[in-house]
Amino acid sequence: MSEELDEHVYINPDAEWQYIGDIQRIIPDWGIGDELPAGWHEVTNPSQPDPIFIYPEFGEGEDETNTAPIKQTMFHRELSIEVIDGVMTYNTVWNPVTYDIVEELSPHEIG
Amino acid sequence: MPLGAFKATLFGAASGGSDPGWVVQPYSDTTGSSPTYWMYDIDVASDDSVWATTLTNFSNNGAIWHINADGTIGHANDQKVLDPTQSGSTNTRGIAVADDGDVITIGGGPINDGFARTGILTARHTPGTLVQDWDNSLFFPSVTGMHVYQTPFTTKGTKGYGCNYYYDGVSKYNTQMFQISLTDGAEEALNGSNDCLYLYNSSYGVSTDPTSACVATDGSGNDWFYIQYRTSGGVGVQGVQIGTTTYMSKGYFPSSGTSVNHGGVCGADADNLYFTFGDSSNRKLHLLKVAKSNGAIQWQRKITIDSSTGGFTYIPPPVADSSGNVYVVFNSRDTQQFSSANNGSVHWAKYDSSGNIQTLDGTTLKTLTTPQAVDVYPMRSRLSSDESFLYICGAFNGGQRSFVAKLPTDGTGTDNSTALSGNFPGSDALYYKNNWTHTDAAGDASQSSLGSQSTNSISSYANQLEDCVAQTNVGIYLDEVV
Repeated sequence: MSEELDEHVYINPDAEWQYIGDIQRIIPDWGIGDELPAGWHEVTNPSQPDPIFIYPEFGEGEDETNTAPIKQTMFHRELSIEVIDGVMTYNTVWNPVTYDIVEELSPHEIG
Repeated sequence: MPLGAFKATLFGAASGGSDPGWVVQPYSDTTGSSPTYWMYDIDVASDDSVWATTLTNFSNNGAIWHINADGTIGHANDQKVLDPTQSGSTNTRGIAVADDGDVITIGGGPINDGFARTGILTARHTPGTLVQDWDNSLFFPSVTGMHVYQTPFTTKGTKGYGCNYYYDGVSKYNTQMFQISLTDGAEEALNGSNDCLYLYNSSYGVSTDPTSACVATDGSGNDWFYIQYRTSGGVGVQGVQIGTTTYMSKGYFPSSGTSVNHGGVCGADADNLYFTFGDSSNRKLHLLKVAKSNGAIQWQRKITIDSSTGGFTYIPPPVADSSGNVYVVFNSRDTQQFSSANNGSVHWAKYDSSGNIQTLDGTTLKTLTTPQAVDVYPMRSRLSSDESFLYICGAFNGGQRSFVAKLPTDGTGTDNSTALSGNFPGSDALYYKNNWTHTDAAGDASQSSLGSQSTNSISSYANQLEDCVAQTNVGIYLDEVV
């Protein structure tokens, strides 16, 4: 796998999440390791944690038939900018948000 | 008389890119002359004729159509009824034209092996010949059914590649990818030693379901079979280098919420794929360019529709042209036109290989719509051989008014004040417009690992389909796009 295909995430001057191809839209021959355009920064910790599923808890004597997950914790990203030893660092913070799971039928449309 | 009946006289035989566009709906005694079926999949032959199949069954039978490039109906033997043996029922969900021009159909169907089970019914058809070349049902040998969903099949050379899902018998549905021979429909080892590759979410009770079977070649000349899958809160791409145990998988998540909807995947260039999905909570279409090798995002865009109230739920797989441009198609509900009727529409847009939305005939979004306040379901898009037309199939009116549209890729043919002319059925006229207000912006999906792979075996059962018979009294309704 070439280095260009590794996972790299950037932030642009408009604070939008950006990728290698977004830089190459501006500078077509730009590659990993080249100087970033003015106002762009690479962001650390780009990979999202996997969702966490929350299952029902059953009391004694309760029907335990339905054991599918009832909630799901997703992780949504936020940009964190810190100054460490006088250097600006750009980091992804993954904030957990828990959603109720609405039961979906298997995907059979009826035509 | 339906306009299509004499259209050949007006415009001559199928002649490629010089024809105007059109929107059609075929009908017959099988469907009735006021048909309400759902056109579920299409593929385009080398002469730019269109093969189409319906999700809706008719007295438990499926149907396929062959429509000429000029919108007239094709050879009588190509308008077929698919009738499973022993009074079984089928919903045909996929159709693909093989490299040699033969046509493969795939859908749910019975396995008449002594048990009442649901499998996947495949068949091969030679154009102009009524009886199928072969038919074969595939089944994962457990006690549970096996199902296909949207855009489930593709071909390359003498092989077919499909995706399906099945219940694991415990808590969830899992995704499978499989390979068949187009010579006889028999299952074959996809990874060199196992019939099929399956994907599962390791969490109890969390399903995955697949769409968008796609074969693409990498920069080293290796063929890969990719699919898109959906699971709780996210979508992903999974690929296998055909004939090997080299796999890839990557998941993508919306910026908030968990309501994601299938789009699809297609080859972009030697190193990348295009990948689309819908976010119906935040009402966005996501378009990503991702690496073939590991799914890493290269760039991403999103489209939102002003005043939207719904939609972004039915998104055909993207299609790329020979220059690496990509066409995206999606649905919406909104209140911005037709006196705030909350109408349903099909939109399409074109991006170049760098992610720049393209201005075509003055605007960046084209819309096929009716004033009806109901959902529209676009199911599949394809390009003509010279890339001058974009074909889209699906259904208006909540799935009750099927269509196949052939629209110029240069963006011409729109009219914001006058409805299309012809005899396309329905209570409201069809419009093809270019004034839907929308926003193209940087995408905001994120990426993660998602799902795990293993292998399975499947079985096949021949002769599960009666000899095909022709639909009778076939006609076609047609509106012109000029």
